Amino acid sequence: MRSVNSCIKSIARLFVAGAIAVAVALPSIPASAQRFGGRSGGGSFGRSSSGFGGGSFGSGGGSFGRSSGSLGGSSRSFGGSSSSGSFGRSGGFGSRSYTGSSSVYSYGGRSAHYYGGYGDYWYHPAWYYWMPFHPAFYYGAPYIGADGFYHPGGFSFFRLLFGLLLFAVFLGIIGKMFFGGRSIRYTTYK
Amino acid sequence: MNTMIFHTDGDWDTTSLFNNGQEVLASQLFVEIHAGRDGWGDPDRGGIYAGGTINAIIRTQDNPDVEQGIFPGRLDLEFPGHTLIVENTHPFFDFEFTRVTYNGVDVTNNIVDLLVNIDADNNIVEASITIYKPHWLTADEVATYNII
Repeated sequence: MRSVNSCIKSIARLFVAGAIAVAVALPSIPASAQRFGGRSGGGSFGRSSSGFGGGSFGSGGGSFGRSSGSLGGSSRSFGGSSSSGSFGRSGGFGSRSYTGSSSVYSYGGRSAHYYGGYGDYWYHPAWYYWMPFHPAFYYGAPYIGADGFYHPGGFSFFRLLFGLLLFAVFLGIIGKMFFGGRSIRYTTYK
Repeated sequence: MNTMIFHTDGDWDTTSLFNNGQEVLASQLFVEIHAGRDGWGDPDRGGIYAGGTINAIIRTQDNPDVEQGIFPGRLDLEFPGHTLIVENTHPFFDFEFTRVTYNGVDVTNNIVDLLVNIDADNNIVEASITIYKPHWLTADEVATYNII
């Protein structure tokens, strides 16, 4: 009975150690989703109106400014700051239409929605999903939705349990190699 | 060099001891090996190579007060269901040259204890061997086999 109890305690210790290891690895998920850019934009080609929009072609001065020089003195030809110009649009260049077109990918011959997380199999290297040391491992395989598009599988608790088990075994082996005391059982045979 | 063969079927009438083909009328056969221990005396892997002690003697019926060494040489022990071979052919009987085979398996690197005591005067028959069995994931095992 004592050996059974010690075995249970040992497994419990390994399980907790594995949970801690996975907890350390998981917090990188939301940060990386931002890094790859979702629909919310931001980053180099984001929605800010301070880049291409309001500056060079805007109401301020400068090379193409409001000067009443040789080009006629009016800024309306290239879109002024007050309302829609010749192209019927306000704000900066490109950001909305750019992000809209990049939200659909092709995956296995089908269209696939892109949400910017680790569940997007069509965006990350395949080995991510085989390595429990990477957060993408804990996301399920994509599925085909009613719209005929691929959708991310979402977080998989089965893979989490499998990862915990794997970490427990891994840490157990490491622990036995470096820190574990040697255990001996005595048996008698006739 | 002695080549001794001990045989028993489980009673005194079938118990015999031969040396180089000639029967030896013995009153006692005693073999004891202690090996395979760490610095604290606990069983450990290594067997004979971990160091230890060996004592192997016979006492003859005509001169029971004198211990006669068995080694250098070879001793075959045949028990019902068990065979045991202890061999040390080193001319100076160095312990590290001892080889032990149990049921056809070389246990030289795993042996912890061996005791064979066939004492006709005191009607004592006992034989056991203890082997260290290392396991990779589960706890190592120190297995004692009661031969007779």
